[in-house]
Amino acid sequence: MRSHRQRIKHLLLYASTTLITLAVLFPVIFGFFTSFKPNPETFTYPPKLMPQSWTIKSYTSVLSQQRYLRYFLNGYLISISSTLLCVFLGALAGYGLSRFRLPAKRSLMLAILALQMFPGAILMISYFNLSRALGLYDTYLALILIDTTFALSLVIWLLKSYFDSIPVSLEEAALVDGCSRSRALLSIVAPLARAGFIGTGVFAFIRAWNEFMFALILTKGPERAPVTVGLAELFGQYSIQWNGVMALTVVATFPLLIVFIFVQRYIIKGITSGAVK
Amino acid sequence: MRRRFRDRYDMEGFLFLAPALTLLVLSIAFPLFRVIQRSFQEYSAQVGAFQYVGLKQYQHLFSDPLFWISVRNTFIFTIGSIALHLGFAYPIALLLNARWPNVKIRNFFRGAFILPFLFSPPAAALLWGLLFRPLGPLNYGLSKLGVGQIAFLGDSSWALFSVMLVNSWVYFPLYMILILGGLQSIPKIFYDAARVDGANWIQRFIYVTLPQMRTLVMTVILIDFATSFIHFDLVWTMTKGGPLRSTYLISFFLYEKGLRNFRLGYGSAVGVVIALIMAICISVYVFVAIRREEAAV
Repeated sequence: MRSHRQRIKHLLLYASTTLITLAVLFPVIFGFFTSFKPNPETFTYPPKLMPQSWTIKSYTSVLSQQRYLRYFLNGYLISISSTLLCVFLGALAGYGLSRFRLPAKRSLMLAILALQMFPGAILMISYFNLSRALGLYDTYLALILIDTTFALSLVIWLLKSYFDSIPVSLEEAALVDGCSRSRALLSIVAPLARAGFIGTGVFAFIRAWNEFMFALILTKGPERAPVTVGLAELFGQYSIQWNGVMALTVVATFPLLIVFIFVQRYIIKGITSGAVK
Repeated sequence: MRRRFRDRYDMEGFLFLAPALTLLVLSIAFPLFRVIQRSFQEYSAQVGAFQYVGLKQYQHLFSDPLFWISVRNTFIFTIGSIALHLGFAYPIALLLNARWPNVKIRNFFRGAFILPFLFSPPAAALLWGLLFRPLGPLNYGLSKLGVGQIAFLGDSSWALFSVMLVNSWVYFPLYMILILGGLQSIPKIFYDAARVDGANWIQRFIYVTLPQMRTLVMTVILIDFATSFIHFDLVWTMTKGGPLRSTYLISFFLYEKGLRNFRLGYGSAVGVVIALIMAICISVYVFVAIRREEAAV
């Protein structure tokens, strides 16, 4: 009797969750199938979910355009550089905050956390002027630095709490044996903190890859602009080719999906252990 | 005295902090200082340089009707987004936190719900643009239900709601993960105790889950406010503030005045006022939240 009720409960749980998932993911599912439709089929009414005749023409045509390949190249260069920079700076700062007795440490940490709520957009005029003045307008470096800046405060916090969870005794033993601080960080703490680096790195990568506003303001065309700018200019175009647009959307999101599937555990652990305190 | 300071602190630690702090100061503190400075200036063509004009830009701003339209829209957008985010995230987090017979299946669903977050704002805008088309699947569904066509983004009475919906779709996973983390950290023993006292699941939710989650939900609202109030990406891609300024947010006002019309002083004043509005709202919120927390204890 009891197990019977249990089974019904589980069935309900599965069924309701599946339904909600399908509803939430409907835009993704519909867009995904649209990318495999030949162009005329994207206009049929009533709209059909599945393509009548499958084709990958939209993918080949999008990926053979120099313009879009350039957007992707820019996106990868900017995101990967800013991810590396962000994790490097965040690891150093997080280690410093975790392992040293510093004056005004609490206030400093609160200030770093408060930065997370800072409305970065209000600086757009300054960034525009400064990038012009410093010759950084329409360069990768400007976007790399800005992406790093706005992911950094959370990365510092997450890595600080990650380092807190690694026992100090290991390093102390190494320090007693005459190992230097930086050496201890590199060869003892860093390997133990790998999961933390991966989690925060993925976070920084997703943020940088999806960043749009500063990319719009600080670049002037496909030469240096990342994928988001390329996607945004397609929206609301008069003669929009929906299958091609969806193919581009799929291709632009695919790297994140792959990264995400492999490291899902770390991200969720990283976010939930560090942020909820 | 000096000895004691040295004994108490390891100043070496600042070497580790220096690179990150340098970047933050150069890329946030300095630009912020420039924005504040510029907001009291105006470019004079005769002199060919910026001149101090006192509060002129601010006076001008407060008498600009478009500014007030953008403030109104931004508040509606922010409050609506927070409500929708929590409305999506909380129930789904509860569902994922239920007793699943198979953890792997639960993790699969959790991953599926996070998927929308992976789409960049422009990509999400495109996905929804396809659904929102006059002859798209959403309107087809509505016609099946006997409701007439809706121009989701073209009708000024629908547009703000439509962009809020898409905004909630993209960002709810973030809040879902935070809430799920909170739910999982509630000690099991509380539920066991409630069960022993004969509480059913509704009572357990009201008397254990809700109070235990209060601080976290307050934090989520705070984070969401700080992000939604200055939102730009998604709505800009979809509507650029139209139709009829019905989705015109304060960040668009900032962008158009400052960088499109190149009124740098005016735009800077907009930036400062945005920061002030947010600071006031956050202070009031935190103050009230702490007050209530104390009252509850």
